[in-house]
Amino acid sequence: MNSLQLLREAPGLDLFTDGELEVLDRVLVARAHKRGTLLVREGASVDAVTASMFLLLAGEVDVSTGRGANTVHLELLGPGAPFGMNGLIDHSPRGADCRAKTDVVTAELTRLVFDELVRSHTGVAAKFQHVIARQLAKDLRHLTALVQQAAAGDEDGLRRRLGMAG
Amino acid sequence: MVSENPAATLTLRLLPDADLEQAEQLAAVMTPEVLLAGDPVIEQGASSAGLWFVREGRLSVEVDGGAGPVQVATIEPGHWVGEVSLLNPGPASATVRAAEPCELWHLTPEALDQLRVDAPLVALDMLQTLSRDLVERIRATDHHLRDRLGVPHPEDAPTGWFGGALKRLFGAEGGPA
Repeated sequence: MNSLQLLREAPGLDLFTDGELEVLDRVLVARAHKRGTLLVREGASVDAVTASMFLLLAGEVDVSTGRGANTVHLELLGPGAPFGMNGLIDHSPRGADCRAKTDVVTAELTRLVFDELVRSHTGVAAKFQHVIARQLAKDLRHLTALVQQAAAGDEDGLRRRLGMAG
Repeated sequence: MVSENPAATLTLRLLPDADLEQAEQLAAVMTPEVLLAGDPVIEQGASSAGLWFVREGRLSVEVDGGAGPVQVATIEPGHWVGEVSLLNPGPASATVRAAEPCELWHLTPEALDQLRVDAPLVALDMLQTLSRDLVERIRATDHHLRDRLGVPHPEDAPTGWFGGALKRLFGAEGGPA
């Protein structure tokens, strides 16, 4: 299946018309990765010029933080979900590991290409930014629920929910 | 200090790169609302959808973690609440009410969709502002969660009002409320 077809089928991209998805397909760089591949490494620095983010087109990506017994599995992403968004927003170091849980197909968008998209197809860029902001809001809602679970005294349940050892 | 021009108020933080004409395009899709002191804007746990921009007055943000409501923040003119519910509608994580008589502007998800069609550059500018704000809040929440679980921090402590609000609510070291 080609990348345009994957973009059409990704559930999180319903904002875009078919013509807009064709524009996206021309500027995104699609790549296939094997299960277990580390796509984004926690703490990795992000260059302001060459910074990039990713859109998951197929498969599942596990978002986690920490190491060893302290590994916290924060979220499991599916097709249509963006990740590594700070590459386009504030160039801060990567906040979590993103690892392919299955064989995956990702699409990479660099800061430079996004800036060009803003100039050439402003409406498409606005929709893409909306997809990013929507995922960030979803991430914050998820994290807030985890903090509230801890505050309610259910720390053991929280550790189980996050897949932590011990 | 609030500008006399309503649209100019938006350029303070929500549209930092916009000119007055672009701010007026955003103002055109927002709905003005007037509140009396004590009036609720958002109820914790209730379904909520939309962003409220404070034009005049102050809003109080309270969170009830089970031991009664705790005021965690005050929202001043030129700032806003509800960006999470604008982008990902669902139950609100805090109660927001008018601390004094307020004039707010409400932006619904439908109005944001309309703005994206009518003025994509304005929508883009605002969504980038909201994204930066959300990243900061995610970092603060992540920092707090790491404290609770004993997971090392990869970076410095969070800054901004949201990190402070979390500390006020749950304690500096993440202890139980």
